[in-house]
Amino acid sequence: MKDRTTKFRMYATIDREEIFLNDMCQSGWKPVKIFMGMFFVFERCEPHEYIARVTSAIDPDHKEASKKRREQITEILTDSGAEIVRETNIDAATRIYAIRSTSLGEFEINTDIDSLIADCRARRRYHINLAVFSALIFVAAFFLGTDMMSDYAMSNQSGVTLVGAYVEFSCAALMLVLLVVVVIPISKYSRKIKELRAKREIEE
Amino acid sequence: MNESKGALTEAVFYILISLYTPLHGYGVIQNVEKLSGGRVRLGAGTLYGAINTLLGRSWIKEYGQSGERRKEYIITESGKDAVRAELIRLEELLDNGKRVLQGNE
Repeated sequence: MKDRTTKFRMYATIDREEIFLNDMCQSGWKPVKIFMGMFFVFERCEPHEYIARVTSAIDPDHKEASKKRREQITEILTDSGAEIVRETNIDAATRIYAIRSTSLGEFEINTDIDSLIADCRARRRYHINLAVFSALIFVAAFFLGTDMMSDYAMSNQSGVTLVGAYVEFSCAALMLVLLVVVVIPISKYSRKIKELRAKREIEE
Repeated sequence: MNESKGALTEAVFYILISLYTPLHGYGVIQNVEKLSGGRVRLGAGTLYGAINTLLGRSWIKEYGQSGERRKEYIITESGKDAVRAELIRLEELLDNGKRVLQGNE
């Protein structure tokens, strides 16, 4: 019987990633390694033996370094019996993937409304960063492609090919798709933040 | 949590009273769970956010050597003032609630 398996998955949001990891834990596979954010390595465990949680350690207000935030949350998590599967260390996309045995009880990283709001804001910040990045690449690739097209037209097709322009337009199209994919969760998180803030007015 | 000594959240109140003796992060989580009879369980994200806010307001401070691996925290005098103010507020809520309920029953 196989004791290790690798799955390739690409998720637009942390929420979906967390659902996938917990589905795997429930079927008897605990995550042990994640690389490039797309390849998930699992080892066999008892079904329902672990709970997986993913949190974003970005400070949405940019007041403090994500590294410090990540290190301190990781320290509290490991002290409380969680295993850190992966920590991403890119400042604009800092994340912590953790699992903890169900025998230790419920496992939540954010247990009050304020920290839930902070987490949603951090997740939204990640999508905003990605949206800005893809929009910039889209604009650059689109204009480069257009420029190459006009060079081609001006040169009377002599010695200049359209290959470069096609590459630029393909890149622009890819970035446009990425932009659409990352923009959708921004409104979802904004709605959730609004709901949590409304809830915060009457309860903790 | 307001900058003025207004209502404290349950998590903040429990963290502050836990820090009358120096504790590190996970020690606070354990103590809060014990004090509340298992009802209040602080997550790592919640505790981290609250500790940073409380440090920013000087209601708690780091305790012991700065180079130690596990940071410990302790409540400050202004933190104790905040706890006392909160107890007065809670007593007022309790008294008013009881008075109105007793008058209507």
